[in-house]
Amino acid sequence: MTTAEIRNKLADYAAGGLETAERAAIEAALAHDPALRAELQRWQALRAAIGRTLADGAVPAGLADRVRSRLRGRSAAGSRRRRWVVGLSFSGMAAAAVVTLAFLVWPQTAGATSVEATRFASAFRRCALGQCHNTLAVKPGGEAGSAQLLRCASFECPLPDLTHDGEYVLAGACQCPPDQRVKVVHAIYRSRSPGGDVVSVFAVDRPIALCARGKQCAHCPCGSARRYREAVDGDVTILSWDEGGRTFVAAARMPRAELTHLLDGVKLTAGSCGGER
Amino acid sequence: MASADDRSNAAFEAQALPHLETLYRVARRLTRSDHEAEDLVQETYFKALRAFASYEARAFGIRPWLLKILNNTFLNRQARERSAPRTADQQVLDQRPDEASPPPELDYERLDGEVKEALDALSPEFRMVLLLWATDELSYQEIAKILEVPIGTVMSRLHRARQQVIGRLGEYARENRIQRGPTRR
Repeated sequence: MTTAEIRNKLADYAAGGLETAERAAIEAALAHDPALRAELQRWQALRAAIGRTLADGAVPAGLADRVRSRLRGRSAAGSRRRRWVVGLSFSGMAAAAVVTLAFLVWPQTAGATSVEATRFASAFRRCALGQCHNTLAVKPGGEAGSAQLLRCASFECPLPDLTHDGEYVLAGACQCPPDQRVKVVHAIYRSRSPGGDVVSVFAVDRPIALCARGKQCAHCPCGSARRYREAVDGDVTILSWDEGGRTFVAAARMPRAELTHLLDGVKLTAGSCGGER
Repeated sequence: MASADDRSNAAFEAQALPHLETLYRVARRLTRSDHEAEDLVQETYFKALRAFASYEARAFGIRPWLLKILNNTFLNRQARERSAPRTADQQVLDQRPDEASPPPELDYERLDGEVKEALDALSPEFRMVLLLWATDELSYQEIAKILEVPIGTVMSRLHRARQQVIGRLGEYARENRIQRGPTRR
């Protein structure tokens, strides 16, 4: 090996990344060259400094418990959800797998209204995590865990029934608008586990484009497959999708993969969305 | 009686959770945010659990596999946020390295802030390979598995990443001399 080749490989040598023959050649050169040894020391010092950037700061307290809790919760919920889906397929009660909320008819508009995702996150924090001002009377119960919103009903709109596997309870509903141009029903679900998750689902009166702040709006027309649009606002994950001529938005403090998985496991009743009474 | 799912979940936790700290620390350097790092780690574990049935224990254990999932999850997130292809420019990443410049003569014990800034200035691909290089006990073979590239590519990326960091530290060294100049008069 030439001196130049040896110098080129010193950094890899410092990390133990060379084959035996190359290591032996470098060690022989190091034994006779103080300048090379000094250079090797600088590589080792640089590598150690980069390693210290990894060690900087503490791992958040309770992170292991939170990860473990999510893994176990997800596993248990997945099992329950599978049993539930099987049960429904046998009982033919798929239509009962929704929370039916009835509310006033809002005018439909052509085209998609752009709404910032952060506004949904704000409504989530205000109405679901802050003071839960439940302004819509909800009647819980029913064989399939369905709930009915007791309000003058001009049309029905289904929401994912997170209450059905028993992990979540419907804690309230309100109509706090994330944006003055659209109207929503905002359903709030709380996990039964201590310190558990809160999930909000908004049913919007029309298809909307969900925008991340300062970024291009994304809107995809209703289709048979659910395509989630996603945004993050601080610690809140926001997912939206179009179904049955409306947009649904879910917000929660959980990783997007977990929220996606949760939403994938529930269904809306096809065809009833937006139907006038 | 425990179900097969429960047993699989317990086995996953026993093997994967001991590496939580390593994953979090790498995630924090990648994302440069405590909150995003935690979110990334949780998503990584969630994905890993779902894919655990397909995981085959090999010579290197589960850590490279978890780091691979973390790295891919991070890069995919970045691509989605930018609405751009996952890797910026593969040719630039993997082109033949120039001749090596050695690290400048500096007191590296006192330069953690500058080193961190230099790392943050790198592209995510270069930052990741350099972080893995500085992680004890990871061989080049393991790094190659994590990044899903050949060892030769690992070495060329490492070379280029190190040269970029050295370039920034060299600038720092020059600026420092300029600042010290007037006080010597």
